[in-house]
Parts: sequence; structure tokens; C-alpha cells
Amino acid sequence: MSIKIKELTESRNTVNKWMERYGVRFGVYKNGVFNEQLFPFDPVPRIIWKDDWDYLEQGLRQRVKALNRFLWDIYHDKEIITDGIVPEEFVYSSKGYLPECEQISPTGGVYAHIAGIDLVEGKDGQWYVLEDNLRIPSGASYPMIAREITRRVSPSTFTTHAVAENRDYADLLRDMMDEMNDNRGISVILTPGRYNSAYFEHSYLAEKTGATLVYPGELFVEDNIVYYTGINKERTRVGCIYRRVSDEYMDPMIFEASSLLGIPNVMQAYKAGNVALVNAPGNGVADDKGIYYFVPKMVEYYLDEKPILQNAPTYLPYFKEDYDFVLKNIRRLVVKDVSEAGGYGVVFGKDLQEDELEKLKSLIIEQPRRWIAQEVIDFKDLEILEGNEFVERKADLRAFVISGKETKVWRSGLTRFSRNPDSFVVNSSQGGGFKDTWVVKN
Amino acid sequence: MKRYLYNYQTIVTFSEAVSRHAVMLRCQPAVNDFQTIEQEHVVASPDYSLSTGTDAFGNRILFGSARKPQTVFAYVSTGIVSTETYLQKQCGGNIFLYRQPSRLTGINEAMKAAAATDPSMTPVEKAEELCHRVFNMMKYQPETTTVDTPASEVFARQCGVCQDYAHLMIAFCRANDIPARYVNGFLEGTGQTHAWVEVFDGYIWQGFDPTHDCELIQQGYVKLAHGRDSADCPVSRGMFCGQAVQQTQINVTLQEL
Repeated sequence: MSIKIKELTESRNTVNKWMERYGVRFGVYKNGVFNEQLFPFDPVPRIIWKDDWDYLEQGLRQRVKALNRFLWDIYHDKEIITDGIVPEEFVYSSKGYLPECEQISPTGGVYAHIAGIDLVEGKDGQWYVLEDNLRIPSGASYPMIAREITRRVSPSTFTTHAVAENRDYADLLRDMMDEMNDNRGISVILTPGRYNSAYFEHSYLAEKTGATLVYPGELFVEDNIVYYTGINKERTRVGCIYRRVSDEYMDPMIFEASSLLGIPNVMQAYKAGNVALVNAPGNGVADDKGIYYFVPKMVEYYLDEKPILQNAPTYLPYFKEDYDFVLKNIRRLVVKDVSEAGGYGVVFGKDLQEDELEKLKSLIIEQPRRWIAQEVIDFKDLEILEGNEFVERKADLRAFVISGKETKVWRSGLTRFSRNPDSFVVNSSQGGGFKDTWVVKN
Repeated sequence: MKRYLYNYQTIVTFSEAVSRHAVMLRCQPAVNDFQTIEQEHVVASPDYSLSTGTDAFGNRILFGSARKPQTVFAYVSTGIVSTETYLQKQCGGNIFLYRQPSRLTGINEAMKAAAATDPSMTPVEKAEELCHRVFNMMKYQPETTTVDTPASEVFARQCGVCQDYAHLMIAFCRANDIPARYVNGFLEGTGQTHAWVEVFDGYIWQGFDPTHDCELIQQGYVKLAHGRDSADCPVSRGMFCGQAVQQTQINVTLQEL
């Protein structure tokens, strides 16, 4: 079965124009100057057949369940450490581990309400998880609005193909927030403001879920209860905060004192169970590069199941066996600095000169705990329309998993591709573009 | 056993009314193996709603906010505390936190060299040696550092106040893989809060005061709170909305009964 894409490719300019009008942008800081860029949309969707998707969905649900169990365990009894599955230094020296979250029990035991799992499909047809994003994963709004506009521009495409609906993301989000809120008050989306790189997404999700979009300074805590004060200066109790502000800025009373984005004493209200924070603070300990290695082990440990999804083959020089392997095969591996975030501190062995390679080796010998090494995955190229020509580019997939009372996978996702033919970097700030992701019945 | 009457008083005045003044206080003595509270009272400005709790490090906290705009915030924490020999057992909790550098206790190569100790010594002997070393290296000089001065800068300048002495000793201990933590509290005869260090020997925490070259504190120190460094356990922290200039007046007395 094939997908007819002629009408879609013809509609490309119209769709991109509409997205521009809707303000589908992301902001980039370069040399201290804030610029907004359009996020180029490629009209050819990534197709995932229903059978393949069912497999991914099962695997994603399993993985996120295990990650939530891990977070609960780390901030409570720490059994996975006592049982010797994860060494304590990997947990406690992670920047994402927050002692301030010890013994706090979030509503329903959920920490990663919104998980963005980054996957790639290898040339061998296997899917690999590259990264778990459990703090503030962004990007769902782009395929949502792209679908909405494409449906309008090219309605017949969706009558001839059985594409799974993706505009239900807002429902998944709202239901989850309602469950976490537990009728304590209103649900809000807290944005740092319009100079945040994902501001479009914040406002779009607020509009679609019906949550109130709130800005720093509009929330405050009194008598250990969080209130929203709107333009009329009335006060409304808040039951759930989907916050797009990072952990360290959330509460100036215990984290970064200079933060103007946070809500003083909100962590106390959260600890007392008077408000839900979505996602929970402290999740960084579970999506740390060093912890990634242990995720398949978590699945076995907590769920007593075989992991459905696999990691990219990863080695931890911390373990003697891996240490020897990494030093011997460093040329073909990609080495990552655990303490660096984003694309920083990532080195491909094959790109290094002899002396640089020796230097990297000596760094690994000195501090084995600081590094992980991975096999370079040869991932599948996707077709994109460049001008009037189809070309092949590297692409990944961010799948979104929503956990409230249940764990659900959104039947779509953000497919990002690199516009540079030689690059493996699909990050949007590097000028990459995105595609809609279709789950289609075979 | 010794008994002390303590009194900690703070008056914060604002040059104009501020709204939503939020506070977090660690102004009550800790309850632990060597300290018992016989009586305690905290009195704060009316119009503030304060709740009690504990922080991430097990310290007692009072937190809350003003119900309406304020020009002054005042509070007094007073009571009677009795102390035994300064020893604290570790039950549960996470020692690892106190073994690695924190924001204000980062270490560099020169500091590592200055912190080197004879490997045959026990952790307590090493801590004694390091306490002594910090005392001899430093010159007590108020107003040369701020509340945010990291140990590396203190090491370079070799002067500061009790907080800086404590940070430097903590950095040195951690460089030797000895868990160490920062303590805030009262010391007889100083008229202000004091800072010192607790070192973990594998079973118990013991006190060291590098500012006074005092190894293995016995008595005379009343502990309020501890943390990885001073930023974890300030006696008070506040936030408000407004442009006001804030002035703080603190008065501490500790008197043996």
C-alpha cells in the first residue's frame, strides 16, 4: 500500500504560509540576541504502519512506567541502589538529582507526566531509543498544528488514507491534568514568557486544553495554597501547574535565589500535596546520560518484564569490562560527557586526530564515571522535499507518552530532520525542519 | 550538660511597602543527639502566615508570606536549649551529598595540593590537620567577602569570615573523600550567628570550628541547621515584589544558665 503525496507536496507553500500566520515559531538566542525563526515544515509525512506502531507503543508505555517507578524509588526507599542494580554515584552525582525532592510523594506516584522519548530507526529496521526527556519535553504542538492546517488545505488526503487522529493530544493532556488536579482548583500552564524558545507551544497548548496560560508573578502561595491572580486581581486556587519553567527556577526560596520566574514556597505547597507539578521536579536524575544505560535494567527490575525497546549499544567505562572495550574501540564509538547537556560534550571517535584521541583516552582513564560511549547507529534516511526535488536526510522521532492514572502513547510524534546532508544533528536550533508523523492502518 | 538561653531577633525594614513578601526561616535550634529544647517561642509580625516543616537536609523550617503589603518584618526566636557533648549519629539520610563539591565548595588543582594529607591518618586526624591548616592559612577580615564567595576565591585571597573558613575546610575535607557539611548556629559571646563544620568519621558527625582553630567541638555551640554549603541553610531567605531597599538588623544572644 502506498500513500499519495502529490496533493501534499503541492500544498507545501500554502501550509507553510498558514503556519507563519499562526506564528508557529521557535526562538533562538545567538550571541545574546533573541530571534524567532520559522520551523520549516516538510509536507511528506513520516509513515509508521499500525503494526510497527503497536510494537513501539507497547515498548514506550513499558519504558515510561519503569522510569516513573525508578523516580519514585530514588526519592523514597532507593531499593534499586541497595539491590546493586544502579551504583549510587550515578544517581547522587547527577545534576538532575534534587535532594529537595526526597520523600515527596506526587499525586498518583507520577513524576514524568509528559515524556518525550527520542528514537531512531536503524537501516536494519530496528528502532533504538537515543534519549529519554522527562523534564520539559517540547515539540508536540508542531505536528498538531501542521495536521490541523494540512487537513484544511488538503482534506481529501485524509479521506483516502486511514491516518490515526493526532489532534487528541490536547485531550490526553487535559485528562491527565484533571486527574493530577483532583478538583483542587484550576489547571494552568506556566510559561516563562514570550522570550522563551517554545512560547508558541505554551500558548497553543493552553488554548487547546483550556488551561489558563499564566506568567511569572501571577501565581503566589499563601497558607501553603497556590493562587492565581488574574487581570482583575481576584484570586483563584490552582490545583495543577503544567510548568514550562525548569526545576532550578521553580522556587527561589530553595533553588536559584535570583529566579524571577518561580513561585516562592511552591515546593512546600507541592510537598504538602496542595498542588500538582507537571512534570515533577527532580526528574533530571532519570534522563541523565549516565542513567540511560540502566533503563532496560529498570524495566526488568521494576516490572519483571523483558524490555521491548532497546537502547543504542552503550558502554560505561565505569565497569571494568566496558572500560577495556571503550579504550580499545574508541575510534568507532561516539563518546559523551555525562555532565554536559544537549549536544555539548559529544565526540565521534572517527573525527579525532591521533593526539586528540589520546587526550580523550586519558580523560576517560582519569574519570571513567564521567563518560559513556555508544556505537554509532546508521539510521535510516527519510525523503524530504528540497526545492522541487526529493532528497534523503537523517531524521529522528520524538514520541510523546502521557502518564496520569494510566500511561498512554500519543499516536503521532515530532519527526525532526537535518537539512544538511552530512549531518546527524536534527536539532531545530541547528536549522532543521520537521514532518508530521502518521500512524496508518495497513 | 550545659543549658543556654538563646535569643535571635531580626528586624527587616523596607524603604517602601512591598507586596507578597515570602520568607523561609531556619531560626530554631536543631533537635538532635546533643541538643534538647526545653522551651521555645517564635514570635513574628502579624499579617504573616507561617507554617512549619523540614527541608531537604532535615532542618526545621518556618515558611510563609505576608497577607498584605508590608514595610517591616520582625521576628524573635527565643528559648532554652540544653546541650551534651557535640556528637551526632547518622541515621538514614544520604552521606553522598556531603562527599562531593557543591556550588560554594568547588575545588581546583592548587587547593587539592594544599589539602593533601598523610594517607595513614584516620578521617578524624585528617580533619584535625585540615582545620588547623585553614586556621593558619586564613586571616579573619570582615567585609572582604560576600555570602556568595566560593571556597576557591577564599583560598586565593586567604581572608574572610567564619563562613569562608568553613567553606574552605569543607572543600579540603571533600578533596580527601571525607564527608563534611556546613553548620549555622550560635556561639557564646559573639553577638551574631556563627558557622562551623561537621565531619563524618564513618559513624558519627563531629564538630570542627576552623575560625577558632577548635578541633572536636565539645560544648558551647548551639546548632541551627546544616547543608552542603551556606546556600543550603541560611537563617532567613526572603523574596518580595517591589522596588524597596531592604535593611536588616540582627541581634543574637546566647547565655549559659
